[in-house]
Amino acid sequence: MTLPVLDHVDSPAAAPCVSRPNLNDLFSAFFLIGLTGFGGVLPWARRMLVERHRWLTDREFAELLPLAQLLPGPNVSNIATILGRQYCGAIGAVVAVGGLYLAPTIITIGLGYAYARWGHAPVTAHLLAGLMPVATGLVISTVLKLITSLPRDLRNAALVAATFIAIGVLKLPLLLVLAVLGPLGTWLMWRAADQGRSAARKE
Amino acid sequence: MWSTLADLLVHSALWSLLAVGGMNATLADIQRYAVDTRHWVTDEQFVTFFSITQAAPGPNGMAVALIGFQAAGLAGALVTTLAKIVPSALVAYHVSHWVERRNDSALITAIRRGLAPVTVGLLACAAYVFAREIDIEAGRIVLTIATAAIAYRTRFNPIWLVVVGAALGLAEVVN
Repeated sequence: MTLPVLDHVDSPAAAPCVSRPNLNDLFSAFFLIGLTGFGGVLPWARRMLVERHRWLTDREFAELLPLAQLLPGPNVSNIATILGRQYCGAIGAVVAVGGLYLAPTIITIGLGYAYARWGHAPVTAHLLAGLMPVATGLVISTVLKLITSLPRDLRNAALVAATFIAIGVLKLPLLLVLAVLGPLGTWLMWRAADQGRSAARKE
Repeated sequence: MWSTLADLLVHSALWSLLAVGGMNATLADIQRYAVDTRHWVTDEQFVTFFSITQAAPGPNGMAVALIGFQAAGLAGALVTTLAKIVPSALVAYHVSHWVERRNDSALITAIRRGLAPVTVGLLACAAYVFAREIDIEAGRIVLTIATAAIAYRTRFNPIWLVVVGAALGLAEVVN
């Protein structure tokens, strides 16, 4: 697996470079990503960071993703933290994350007031009758995509089933389930990779 | 009031730290706590909030801010939002730095591969929580299945499906 390598962005040998973003650039880029990111923020983040500002190449963006996905929290917020840090240190991270969340926070609070006021109006009921099945369908499609992306073996099937039973059926707390299944899954995959390596050595 | 805010703070921070593979992974646990344990929102409101925020811009999981709003008003929404953002950002800040210096890719790969099926299981729970709330009504069931199929098979930006869903609802095609 390749790890995010962005350090060479700083080096003079780096691609047809573009000036390093300052705090203002970071804030406005991530503010716009937060504001425009309808239906999944990642495509918008790519458009902004790779196509428009050229702070990253497509490859660097792709290399940043596995780490952003591994870390807890929304991927795009992790990207903001990491890029902010790499370009402008701790303040950069604060500014990028703050910019990202500013508009969504204001909009969500506005939605809270709107729901308190019109939550029981007939028009809201009609709107939700259409929105709820779509939201459900989107979650189902994500599950389907991810299931088909997993290797088809017993280890993966057992971990998916164990997680579903623990949370969905037994209703155990998430912290407990992750504390047990996270290390267990890591150990299983580590062992599998180890066996693969020693088998390769024997041949 | 203060105890509700503290409760929101602790749990929102916890969910943000446990959100492996995105905020939706924590959905079933949020439902368990916010609906079953604390009664901050009803099952129906819970699904409603997630559907509404699906249609709004921004990162996943802003729905917890609406749960905070319902539990303790504006202060609740702000506390929940900050608690959702700060802890996971701190982890991302320090861990990414550590990973870049270490390059210990075998361990990272094992963690990533081990967590991938767990994330899928958690998302399946989220789908189950949502599907349970759908009324047994032909239009809604068809729309759910159609959305899942289109989003699975094609690469449309999901916002268009949300727009179509909203339009079908407002036109009372789906009730």
